[in-house]
Amino acid sequence: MGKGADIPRFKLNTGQYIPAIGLGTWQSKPGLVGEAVKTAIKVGYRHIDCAKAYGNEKEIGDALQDLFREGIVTRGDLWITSKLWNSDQHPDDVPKALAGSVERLQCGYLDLYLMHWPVALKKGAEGTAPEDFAPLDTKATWQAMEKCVESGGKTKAIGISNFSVEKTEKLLSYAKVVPAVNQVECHPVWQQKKLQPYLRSKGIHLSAYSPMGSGGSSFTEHIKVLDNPLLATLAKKYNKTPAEIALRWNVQLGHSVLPKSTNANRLEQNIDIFDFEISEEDMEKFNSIEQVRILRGDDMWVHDKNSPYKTVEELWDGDI
Amino acid sequence: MADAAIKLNSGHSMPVLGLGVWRADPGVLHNVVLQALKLGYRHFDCAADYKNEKELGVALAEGIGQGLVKREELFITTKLWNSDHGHVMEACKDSLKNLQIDYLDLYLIHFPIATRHTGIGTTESAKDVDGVLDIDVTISLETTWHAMEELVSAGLTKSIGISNYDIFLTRDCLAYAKIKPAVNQIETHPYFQRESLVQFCLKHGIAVTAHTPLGGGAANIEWFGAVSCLEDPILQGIARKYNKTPAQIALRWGVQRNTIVIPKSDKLERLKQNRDIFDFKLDDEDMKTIKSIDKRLRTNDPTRFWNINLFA
Ligand SMILES: NC(=O)c1ccc[n+]([C@@H]2O[C@H](COP(=O)([O-])OP(=O)(O)OC[C@H]3O[C@@H](n4cnc5c(N)ncnc54)[C@H](OP(=O)(O)O)[C@@H]3O)[C@@H](O)[C@H]2O)c1
Ligand SMILES: NC(=O)c1ccc[n+]([C@@H]2O[C@H](COP(=O)([O-])OP(=O)(O)OC[C@H]3O[C@@H](n4cnc5c(N)ncnc54)[C@H](OP(=O)(O)O)[C@@H]3O)[C@@H](O)[C@H]2O)c1
Repeated sequence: MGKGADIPRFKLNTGQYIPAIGLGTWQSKPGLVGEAVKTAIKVGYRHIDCAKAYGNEKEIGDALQDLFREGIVTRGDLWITSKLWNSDQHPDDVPKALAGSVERLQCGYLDLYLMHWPVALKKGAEGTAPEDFAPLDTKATWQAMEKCVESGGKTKAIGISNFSVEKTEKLLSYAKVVPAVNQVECHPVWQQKKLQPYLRSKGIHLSAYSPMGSGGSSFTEHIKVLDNPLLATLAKKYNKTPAEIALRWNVQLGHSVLPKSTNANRLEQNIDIFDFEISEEDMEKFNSIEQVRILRGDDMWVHDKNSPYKTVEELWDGDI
Repeated sequence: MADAAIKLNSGHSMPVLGLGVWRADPGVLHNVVLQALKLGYRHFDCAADYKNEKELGVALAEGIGQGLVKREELFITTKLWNSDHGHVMEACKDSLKNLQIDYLDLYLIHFPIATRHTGIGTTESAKDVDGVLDIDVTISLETTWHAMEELVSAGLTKSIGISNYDIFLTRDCLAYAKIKPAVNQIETHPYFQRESLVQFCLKHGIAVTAHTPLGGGAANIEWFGAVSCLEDPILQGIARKYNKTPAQIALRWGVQRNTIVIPKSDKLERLKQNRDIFDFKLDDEDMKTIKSIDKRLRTNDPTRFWNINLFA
């Protein structure tokens, strides 16, 4: 159950179906990510979440080639997402960056290409230092993204990531192609209570990143989503792990989830969420969890002079 | 084990199941073809207009090189584009070059219409100043057909045929043909059954290939706003009864009514599924029930691209 072709899917405003679970690949280490992709696909994942910024697309592409050669899956069986990095936001660079991801991933086309952040960096900028910022022109960037889904483009759908309600609203004021997806942090401790209903009303699918709270990443040492007592209680009740409860909660809200792991056991565990259902009553209980945004981005995207966002409130339009 | 095949009026045999390759994503088809060969697909339906003869050719050559298959076990179809009716020999040779083979198993006239020539193999649908498809009214289909016949004598193709011909045009072709068309490839599926045309062809020894045998699935919903027979509740009910999918029922029905089916998929799971139709038989009752769901619905109508309704 819940393997390969049977993975539940959500319909996007483009008519395409995105598999409800995708493999996250941020901070998946070189030398490990290729194996993780192979294991994931063998245990039933059909969706991989990538980005140029993760620096591991080539290794993922090599793994895909092995899988295609071995006849485990074909490209068409898979959903592959990648993201436009902030230093490629100039309209001329958008199709080139897309082609670059497709080339590294060796997958012919993407199913979804996202604007990674509502932040622009200078072309070729390696880091996120104050001098790396470039003036933000989201409209021009989005119009270049729109060209990428025209016939002959290398992606089947386009979307955004890390856009607040206000930033999404502004984009919709000029967008000819409505984003198919907004990929944002979403888990029981940061539920996107404001963004969720807004996206639903606009027909934009919410894809949940860091669905387990990003575990051991350096940004979040102090908050452990999976240690939340409600997750422990429900895990016991449903005979599942806290991670599975957290993932299932998102899926039941209609969000695709992108758990990252490079560990074979955890990869299998994280996809084993389609054989049970959290009751309505238990879903209600998540409402009482205290809310904290974990990936705040203030150390990267907020700068009193160079960034368009002088404060973390401006980055998220107060939704923190 | 070789696939079920039927004998054409040319004396050659043709597998009743093939892989259609229209709209396969460039760069992706290559692996699909290799996997299809491993699964046992031997019949491939291509066309110059699909602009992927080269990719198919590279993949088939690789399959042959790897020992997966021999050329003589393959059945390769491609099609003459509308803009090349006045250049049949050159167009066929161009396709052979692209496909890296020295003969075709079947060469079809893609549509019963000639349009402005734009250069061999460019397969354009050039528009006139009024924005409508630039139709060439100087070449008759009879002339085109006689040029097709020459390909057989020249050894460039084993069989020749027609595509998208109705009863009127098929009858006419039978009248002027020195070599009878071996195949008429037409759109037909449970929502567009065209029983009269199918029976007319079969009666006159012309095999019928069902293009769009799944009604075009999701692709024709997206491209043409079609209604998909795969979502038909009756077909779904029959699928449950045989423990098969609606796609398998549609294909099995096609085979049981003596047509050749060429479903397209780029998904390994579906490539397997679409072949897995030879271990069961639809009973007469179910064949009749399927007959009753016909909607006479053409799902693939190029009017959108040509600004003229050729089926008017
Ligand atoms: N658009 C964006 O800006 C953005 C931002 C962040 C993330 N993302 C995407 O979302 C994906 C997921 O987010 P994330 O990587 O931040 O965090 P996450 O998936 O919430 O958590 C990953 C961490 O949890 C651990 N883990 C995995 N399965 C577990 C389980 N069953 N029980 C306990 N721990 C488990 C992983 O370690 P092991 O690997 O050792 O299992 C890793 O340390 C990313 O990989 C990326 O693709 C996108
Ligand atoms: N002579 C002509 O004028 C003409 C015109 C049209 C077509 N053709 C030929 O006929 C072939 C087939 O026609 P077609 O590709 O238009 O339509 P089709 O084969 O009837 O349907 C293909 C569609 O159905 C989906 N599909 C395939 N297997 C499926 C399954 N088991 N379950 C559910 N969906 C499934 C495919 O998606 P996935 O790929 O995502 O699986 C695709 O969207 C063409 O490739 C071409 O060779 C000829």
